[in-house]
Amino acid sequence: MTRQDVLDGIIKILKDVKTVDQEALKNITEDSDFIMDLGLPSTELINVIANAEDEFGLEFDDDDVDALDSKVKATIDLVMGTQQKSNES
Amino acid sequence: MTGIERQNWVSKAPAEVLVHGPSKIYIDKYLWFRPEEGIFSYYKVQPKDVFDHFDVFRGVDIIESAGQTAVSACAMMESAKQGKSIDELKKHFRMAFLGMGEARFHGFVKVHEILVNICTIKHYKFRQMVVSCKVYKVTTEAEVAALISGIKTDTMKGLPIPESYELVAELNDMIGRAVPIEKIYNN
Repeated sequence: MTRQDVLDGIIKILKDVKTVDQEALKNITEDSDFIMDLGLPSTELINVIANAEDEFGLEFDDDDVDALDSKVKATIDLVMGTQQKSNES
Repeated sequence: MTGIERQNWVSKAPAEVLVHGPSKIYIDKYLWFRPEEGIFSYYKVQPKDVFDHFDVFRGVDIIESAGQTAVSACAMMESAKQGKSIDELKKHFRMAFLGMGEARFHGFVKVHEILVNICTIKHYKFRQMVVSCKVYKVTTEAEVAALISGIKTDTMKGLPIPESYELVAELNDMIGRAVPIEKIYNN
């Protein structure tokens, strides 16, 4: 799985989120901010992360989720890092 | 979780669970709690609560009472998940009431009346709790006790709401989260 694959998966999740600015979603990059650029409420970010678990078949650690900021890059790092840990175990 | 553990949590004073000062706590007592299912609490409105507000408890304070109930459930869940006491948990996390969805008010609560929060847990994930609450009012503590006696099994499903209970508000998607303290102060 590449970072682009993860970004594509995130886009797929966000397409179903009513509060997301779907026009802004067309221009999403790793540097985008879920809250500032896409209009996602901060409390909704947890649901996006939970959906990412399902999308990528992973289980995130609570502490790792606590450490997230609202940048898309942080979520991609979380997915990639969790998958790497999963592969190593 | 055993019934005894649940009972121990419910018998905790709200001041042990919440970080609010005494004048800002709008829960007298937890009545019932079941992880994944729900939490009940009640609060008797005091004269200090309606000061400068024509003896009526403010709508925003009704929301606050339900919000405190939501974050209490969050604390209880996280305590069980981490296997730590609530005191220990409070050293590392703040239970924050972060937001809510739709609110519908059907009535009001006056001084000396008792509001009862019946909150259903919708989900708990990554230390975030979402509950929806129905807030009722009654006039006596005996009526509060009658609600709990209506729970015949270990579950709130099919719980009969006594006829004397008057629906005051429906508060949907109340969000509470255990936020790491360092995240609060580093942002």
